[in-house]
Amino acid sequence: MSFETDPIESATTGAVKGGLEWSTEKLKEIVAKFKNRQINFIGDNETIDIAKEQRVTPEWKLFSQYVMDKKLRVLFQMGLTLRKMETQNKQNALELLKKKILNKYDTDGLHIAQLVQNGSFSRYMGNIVEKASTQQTVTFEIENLFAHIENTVAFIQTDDDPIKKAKQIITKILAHTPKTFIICSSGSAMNRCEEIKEYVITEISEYEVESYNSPNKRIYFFNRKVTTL
Amino acid sequence: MTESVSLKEMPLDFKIALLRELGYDSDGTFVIEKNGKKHEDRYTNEPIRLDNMVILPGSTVILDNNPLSITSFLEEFGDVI
Repeated sequence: MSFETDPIESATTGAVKGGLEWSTEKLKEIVAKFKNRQINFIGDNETIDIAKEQRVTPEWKLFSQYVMDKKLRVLFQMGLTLRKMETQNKQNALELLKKKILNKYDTDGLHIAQLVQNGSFSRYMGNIVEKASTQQTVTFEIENLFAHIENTVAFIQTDDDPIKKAKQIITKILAHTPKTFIICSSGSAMNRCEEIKEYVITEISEYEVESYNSPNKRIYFFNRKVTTL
Repeated sequence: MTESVSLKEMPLDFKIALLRELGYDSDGTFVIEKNGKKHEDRYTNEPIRLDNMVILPGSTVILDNNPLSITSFLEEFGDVI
């Protein structure tokens, strides 16, 4: 038995890989190889490559030392992947991936990935790695941030009402008194973010602000002041 | 080292024959299980289309070819691909 593609024609057009021809005999051969884990069947290299690339980045190497939770590890890598797609201007692929993350992990999962995507999380992690005395403390701080992300991070949009948004942030800070509250923005929302930060800081005296600016990102870390007796 | 075969270049009827050898089937568009149900990606719970599937080692894992599923697979099984 043979299949619809002429093996000879396929070979000349480069459609046959590794000497494969689409015959019953070859089918049995590759199935046997697959069952022996000698072969796998992939779609395009790009998807696998982009996933594997994130697993060798310094950010991943650092993060993966501290966090073993599978969900958080996947979300972290999704954040790196979103960033890569953003850098490559692959808007459709980026939106599709955001939708898949949202469907699987809900809004808080998407926000975790976006926090990694926009670079805020790596700055946060660098900060706590520098200050923490033990590895367990770093793990706790990271997992705590992600577990309460809706109360510890605000993503500013261009059309946010600055006063309303600032009041929401103040309410969250006063209610939960997190060690760090992060306000982040990109592109056209950066000025709005600064406006909101100014309003928040006048109302919250127990926190000091650390800012991070890049050409396309504006991030503010509100760090709770350390009280001394 | 594991060899990779591109499904993009595999004829449709060969893909379906391959699925049958692995205990699955197809309606021509989706991967179908023995019980007649559409086979869902174990990580996204979405039906898997023939034109966007990958078949990976580890008890025959058929996935949708997207970064979330591939990354989740690598987390679960290690860097085996």
